[in-house]
Amino acid sequence: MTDILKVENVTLMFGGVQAITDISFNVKEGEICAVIGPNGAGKSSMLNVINGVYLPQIGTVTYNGVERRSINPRDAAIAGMARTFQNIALFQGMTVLENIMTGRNLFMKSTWLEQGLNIGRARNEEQENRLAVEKIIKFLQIESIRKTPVSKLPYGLQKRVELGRALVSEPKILLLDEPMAGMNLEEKADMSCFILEINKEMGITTVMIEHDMGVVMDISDHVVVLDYGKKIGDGTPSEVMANQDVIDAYLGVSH
Amino acid sequence: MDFVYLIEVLVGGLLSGVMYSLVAIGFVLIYKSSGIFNFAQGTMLLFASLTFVKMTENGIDFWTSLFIAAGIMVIFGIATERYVIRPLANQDLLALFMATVGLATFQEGFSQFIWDSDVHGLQMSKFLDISLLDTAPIFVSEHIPWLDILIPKFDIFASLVAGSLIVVLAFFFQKTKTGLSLRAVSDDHMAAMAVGIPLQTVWAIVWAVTGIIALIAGLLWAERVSVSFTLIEAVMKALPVILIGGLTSIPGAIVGGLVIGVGEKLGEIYLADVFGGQGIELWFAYFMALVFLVFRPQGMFGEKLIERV
Repeated sequence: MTDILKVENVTLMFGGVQAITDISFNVKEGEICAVIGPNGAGKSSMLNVINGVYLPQIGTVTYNGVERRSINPRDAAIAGMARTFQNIALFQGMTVLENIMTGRNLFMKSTWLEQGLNIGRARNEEQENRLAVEKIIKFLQIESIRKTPVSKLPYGLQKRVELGRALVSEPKILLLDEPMAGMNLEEKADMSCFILEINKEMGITTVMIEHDMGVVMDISDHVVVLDYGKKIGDGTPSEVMANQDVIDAYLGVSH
Repeated sequence: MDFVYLIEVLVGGLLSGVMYSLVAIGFVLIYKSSGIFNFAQGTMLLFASLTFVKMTENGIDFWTSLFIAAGIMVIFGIATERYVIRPLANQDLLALFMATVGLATFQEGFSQFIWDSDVHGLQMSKFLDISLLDTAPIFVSEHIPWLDILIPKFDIFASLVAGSLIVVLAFFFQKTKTGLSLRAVSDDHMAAMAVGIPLQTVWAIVWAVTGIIALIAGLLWAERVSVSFTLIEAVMKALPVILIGGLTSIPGAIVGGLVIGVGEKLGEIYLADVFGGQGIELWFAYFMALVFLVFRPQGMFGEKLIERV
């Protein structure tokens, strides 16, 4: 399989602080790649470099065969990169339906005049977009909260809606920042199933940051381990589990 | 009798309040979408109405002037986003605020430079044959016998125009993709960009729409107070309105305007003796805003900022 994403020698600094130091790894098309590591290891920063929120000082990201040092998040979205955020970034003033609809934003080509009057291209487009949104709502089993303002939803459901908004844009690659943080066991099991289905049935490559080692070992094909901004492990779950550096980082070293 | 008089005061207050709301909406739109408090709102009103008035004075008919003035405001809005706001993106909000102060100064000078600094009267009845533009007030008792009050016709006209504009805006925000994008941007810039919403285009649209609102508000105000620098002062009345309604809420701007309109009139009538004489209308709005600041700093509908500790 080909590499859909190649991170090469990326270094990211905030002032004098090195958040990421010389990290390289590849993500194969169609796999679930987990990025793990202790707090402050640079995982979220890595995701932010990939979709262009941060501009690394050194290094390149090759996505879909195009090598670049920077992209802006909108262009990343156009290129088929969708993401969720660690601290849920839903549009709080909108309902579940409207939030997921914003994910179809790139598929809306008609002008506001056509939309307002519901004529021309707007009609078909509206229908297609609604269909796509409904499909995702059904897939994530959130039909009953369709019209609920997201601010009224519990955390676990908000995470699910955010996943829906990313998914409805029909991405090639999905970047998930701690999709299971703060969830109980049952919610985690549901979310794991969704991620697996998205990967296996829709064929969407997934890069996810996750803390729950059980989940990571269960569902990912490939694990990248970061610690203090450096890569300390890279391989299949079992390879990484056996890696002495990784064990030290997680359990501490005896002095 | 006294009760009927109270109704007259209330209706008068509500109608003048709508005019405040209209100006306040301009502030709210820009603040909501970009977090910028637009100091140039007042000069936008002046520039828009001056452009319109000068064209009509030069013999261009009403609708053509209106469309050209609207077009100029749209271009002005897009240019503001491109050359003032975009270069300052990601800067401190104070820098952006200062940029709008600069914009206001520029606009004030520019208006005088291309037009002039004279006081211009605006009488829409000269162009439009609408009975509501008649200067005589409506005697309500002719229609409702027990209600012996007067309502200025122009106030009704202004409220109808403002009301329609609000309905159009609400429709635009709720029913179109642009509206959805706009609401997304006002909620969360980062997330909006991540789903592929073009932030800069949305900002340009907001500035353009605000320009058109400024034109309409400017013309309605100009009919009352003439086209001159007093227009900028009139806009200052929108400040207490947004303090009361909250900077982030369009319904808040509407209700805030009505509260100020009614409050001013009631204060003028019923508190004049307490505070020694007339003129309460001039400062009562600010007083109400102060009271609000003490008890509810986020305004009636504004979002309370909660810091996660």
